[in-house]
Amino acid sequence: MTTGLSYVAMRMASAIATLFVVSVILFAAVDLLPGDPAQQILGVNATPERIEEVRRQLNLDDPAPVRYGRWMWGLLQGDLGESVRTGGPVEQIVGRPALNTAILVVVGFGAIVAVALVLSALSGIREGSRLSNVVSLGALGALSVPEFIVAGILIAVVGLELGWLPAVSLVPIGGTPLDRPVILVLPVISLAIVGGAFGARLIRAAVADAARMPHVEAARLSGVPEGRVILRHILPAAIPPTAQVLAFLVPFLVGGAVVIERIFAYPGLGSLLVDRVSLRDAPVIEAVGLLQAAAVILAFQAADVVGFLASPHRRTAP
Amino acid sequence: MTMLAGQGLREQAAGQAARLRARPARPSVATLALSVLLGVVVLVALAGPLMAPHSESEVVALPYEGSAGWFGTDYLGRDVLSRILHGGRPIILIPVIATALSTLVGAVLGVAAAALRRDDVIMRAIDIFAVIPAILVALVLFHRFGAQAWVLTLAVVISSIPFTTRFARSAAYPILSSGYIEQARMIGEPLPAILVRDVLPNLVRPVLADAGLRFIGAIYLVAAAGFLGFGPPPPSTDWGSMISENIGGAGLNPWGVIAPSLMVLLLTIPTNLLADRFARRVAG
Amino acid sequence: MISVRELDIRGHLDARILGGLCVDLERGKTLAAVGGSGAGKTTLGLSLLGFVRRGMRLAGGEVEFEGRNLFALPERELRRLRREAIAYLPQNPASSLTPTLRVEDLVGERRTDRSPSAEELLELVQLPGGRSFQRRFPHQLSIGQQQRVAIARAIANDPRLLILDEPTSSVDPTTQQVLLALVERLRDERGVATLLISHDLPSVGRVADEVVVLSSGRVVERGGALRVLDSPADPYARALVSASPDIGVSQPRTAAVAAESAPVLGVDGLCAGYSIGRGRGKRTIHAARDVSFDLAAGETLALIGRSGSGKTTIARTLLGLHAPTDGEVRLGGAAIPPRLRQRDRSQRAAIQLVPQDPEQSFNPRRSIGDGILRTIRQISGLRGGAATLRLAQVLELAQLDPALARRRPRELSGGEQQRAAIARALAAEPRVMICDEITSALDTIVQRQIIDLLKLIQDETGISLLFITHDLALAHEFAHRIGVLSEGRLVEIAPSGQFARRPQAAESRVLLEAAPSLSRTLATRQDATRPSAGGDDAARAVHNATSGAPGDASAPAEPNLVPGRNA
Repeated sequence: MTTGLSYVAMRMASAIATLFVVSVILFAAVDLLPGDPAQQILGVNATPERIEEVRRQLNLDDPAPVRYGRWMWGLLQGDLGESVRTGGPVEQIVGRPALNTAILVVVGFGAIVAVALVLSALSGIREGSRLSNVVSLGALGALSVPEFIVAGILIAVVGLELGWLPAVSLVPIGGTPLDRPVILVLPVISLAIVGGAFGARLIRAAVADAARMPHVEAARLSGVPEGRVILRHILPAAIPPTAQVLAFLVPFLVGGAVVIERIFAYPGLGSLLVDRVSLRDAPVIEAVGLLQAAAVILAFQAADVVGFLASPHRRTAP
Repeated sequence: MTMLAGQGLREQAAGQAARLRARPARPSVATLALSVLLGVVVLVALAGPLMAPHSESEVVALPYEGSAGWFGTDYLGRDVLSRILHGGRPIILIPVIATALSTLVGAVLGVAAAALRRDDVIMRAIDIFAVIPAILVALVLFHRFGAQAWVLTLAVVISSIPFTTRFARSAAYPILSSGYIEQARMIGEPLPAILVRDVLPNLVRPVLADAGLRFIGAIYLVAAAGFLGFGPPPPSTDWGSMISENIGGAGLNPWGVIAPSLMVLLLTIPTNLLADRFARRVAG
Repeated sequence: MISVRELDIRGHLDARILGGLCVDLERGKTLAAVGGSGAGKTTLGLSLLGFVRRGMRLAGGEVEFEGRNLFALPERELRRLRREAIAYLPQNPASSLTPTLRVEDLVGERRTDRSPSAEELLELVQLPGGRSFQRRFPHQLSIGQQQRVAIARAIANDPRLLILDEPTSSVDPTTQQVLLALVERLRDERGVATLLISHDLPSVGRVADEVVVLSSGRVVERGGALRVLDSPADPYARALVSASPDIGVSQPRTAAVAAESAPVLGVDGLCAGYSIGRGRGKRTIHAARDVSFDLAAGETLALIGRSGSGKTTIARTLLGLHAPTDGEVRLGGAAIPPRLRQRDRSQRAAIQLVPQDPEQSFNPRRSIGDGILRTIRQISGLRGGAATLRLAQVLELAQLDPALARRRPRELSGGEQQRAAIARALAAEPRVMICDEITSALDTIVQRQIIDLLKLIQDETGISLLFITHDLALAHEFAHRIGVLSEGRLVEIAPSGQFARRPQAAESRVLLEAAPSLSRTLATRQDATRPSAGGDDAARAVHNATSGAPGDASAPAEPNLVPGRNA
């Protein structure tokens, strides 16, 4: 028998192992793929001496495992290295945007979950009803609209034409987006429409699957009140798949935030990442990538833990 | 014996009922209409450069001039309609190539995982890639190789493979453990014959249905890359790039943003609806 | 108390599910609805709850319960009746338990003010009523316990009407006894009316007062249970009754086999197992332990046993699909390799399988004929016209309409699919055909047809059959010899007649006692109603067939009361 605690410990170990492998892949992709980073940083007109200087500065002449080891060692001590383009410690460059993105992702996640749960619960429990079909088709339509198009329309109409909400997300200097929550509205709506549609469809499928189980019909036929049928006989079985769906929203949000931050000039990790990719600033790219992957891994593991706790047949002895 | 003959008739009736149920449904009017719409959009995207009144770099009027041509001019004064017609190819071709590649690789890996029962090894390796957001894959590769079409294609392939593999595995698993595969093994048919006769024909439709969903993801990623400034090198363009290029002047000439947005939607919405219908039919 | 009047329920394409059905059920009475699959039995049962499944609709008629038409009641009233007055036990009762609820909730949820306590309810179905049992989830119970919890849940509302849908087909023998005894008790003590939906005629014969025979949504015969089951008037009802395997009257097949001929198949000291679980929980299940038997030419040997006794593993080992850990399989006296891929073409051809699920054994995207042709080409090497001719021959042998060979598997009925699988096995010209539970998914009448077909094929071709089943009555009349498996061991093997008269092993006696027998059940009831009468023909037949059998007393087996998951 696996207890909840040892299961969580197991998932944590698995998360750390995955993150480690991801760090290797990320490092390899950013630092090791063919091409001379020094040359790429300096451009084609750079003198050989200058290139040599930058190579030394980046320790590019060391063998790759040594460089990875050095990077990982620093990482474990909270030292992410220095930016090769703007100078300064990476953790300072990444810190503030990471907080801003975290705020956007958490608020966006909340909005998506609210939209998705309401829509899917409305439509999944009585499959085949008119409401269910409308929600399903509407979600499918919304799902086809990339969030930057939603954002573009919102900026053009609500931001510029009507002027109700800021079209650009200016964060007060030294503050966080929470000091001026109004700037979060349009980015969050942009994310929540597509993400909510995505989540609603999948959660609806999970609830519909749960509602199709033979014990649900049996419960209805034994006169159990409808509210209790939903709460006690349908929803518990829908929790594990729903947790998985919600976890899948996290990579969607992390990726979507990159685009959304860009369009609203929101000072988060996404904007930073796009800038640094243009500047070819490897240490910053690695740090941002690792943070994003960590968020996704955490979400998947959390979903596994929720699914475990919600399934008596896994949680208790057979 | 006569009563058993009566039962025989009932058995026959049951068989006939089964045959009636099994008859495939004809495609609906909506499906046909969506297919035609999608066909037109794809045709415009592919043959667009031949129809365009101007080249993609020709300056025809002042920037953001709404009255010039159908959709006015862009931020440099170029004809929006012409650039739309020139900018459709990447958003069709890259997703088509990338989806074909990732589906093929995924099918091979997925069937291998299911056939060898080595799920743990292959699937664990694959799952690690699933935690890296697609856009991050694309950006990391851009960082290294610059924003080129093949890099974008590669990024789509890498970020799709975890999903195509997982799907192909789950589709192949019940086929490989089915009674008819066992039957073929029992009479000693060679493995390649079993793969061709039994596995592939039953795998094609579900895998195609999944490829439809992957294709939408690929379109999205290509449009998003263009939007983030990693589209084709200027003066070439694609629809995603056009949206971000012209969003600053949306107040002066909204068509600079609306027209490419509409083109993206005309591509994604019918594709999505059709893929969903197809996937439902395959699922039964 | 409940009265179904002119009930008309339509399905897909307005096909008739129930047509003009009239049934009455009074307080304290038990009515059985019998018939083959597709007769509309379940639809009738659900209509007594005022419920029509999705995809069907009520086209006319009414169901009146205590003076009120259920189909005209508002949803709330209907729900109140289901909660307070009616109990429904669905087919496969274990699947009606919500896996995330504990026993106390599952049973407690249906209790009313009048109901006994949860503990009493559980003890009523011979389960431990204690706290620790009530705290369990369904997956922590054995299948038999789950079924009994479902029964306790169903009757927890102290119902006036009880609807049992095929309660004995998926239930183990102990639970079957508990359930039937409970039905009698509820009827006698509380005057509960029961609708029993079943194709299990012996169970019907035990508890039903009246019987309606349904065919294609119509009542073809109705009347007192003893009369209908003993001397049905309608041809379909007659077919149904006579097709029901009955160990009380069936004549065992005598060995028409030349005893001196060398065995076709020999099995010597066969051991096989498989491992389940992973890591520390990994265990080896010994599915076959030192199994030895011979199979003569033209002989049918039945292997019987409960589920998990190793029947299917032995079949798979003989076919080379499962590697044995020890022992030998001989074909015509010569040992053959244990694994399929080491066997040559003629060795493969010699042993063929007719599977339990024939539909699943044909590629869904190819025709039945194509599937059979593959065996013909692969095994006999025939091509073109010769192969087609051979296809026509085996289809005729299996009595399958040649036009159906162009169909895909799911376009065939269950009986047609089974004939196609038999044709395919015959196409290899095997010496041994292994039939693995081939009749368990079929109606009794179709089941009878398949058995008759196999007898005919055996007479024509002299093939040997290994007939795997859990149905002793069927084995008794079809097989020359019967082998009994218990926990992987072959505990007894004997000619059918001798087996039924003098079973040796304890497991054999248990199986023989549980074997359904309509004639025996009817005789018992007739004896009970006319104690002075000497018994009629049916009863005499029973006494003749079972004289000396310990099961003669026909007392129900004492249910196992030991708490715990293996009870």
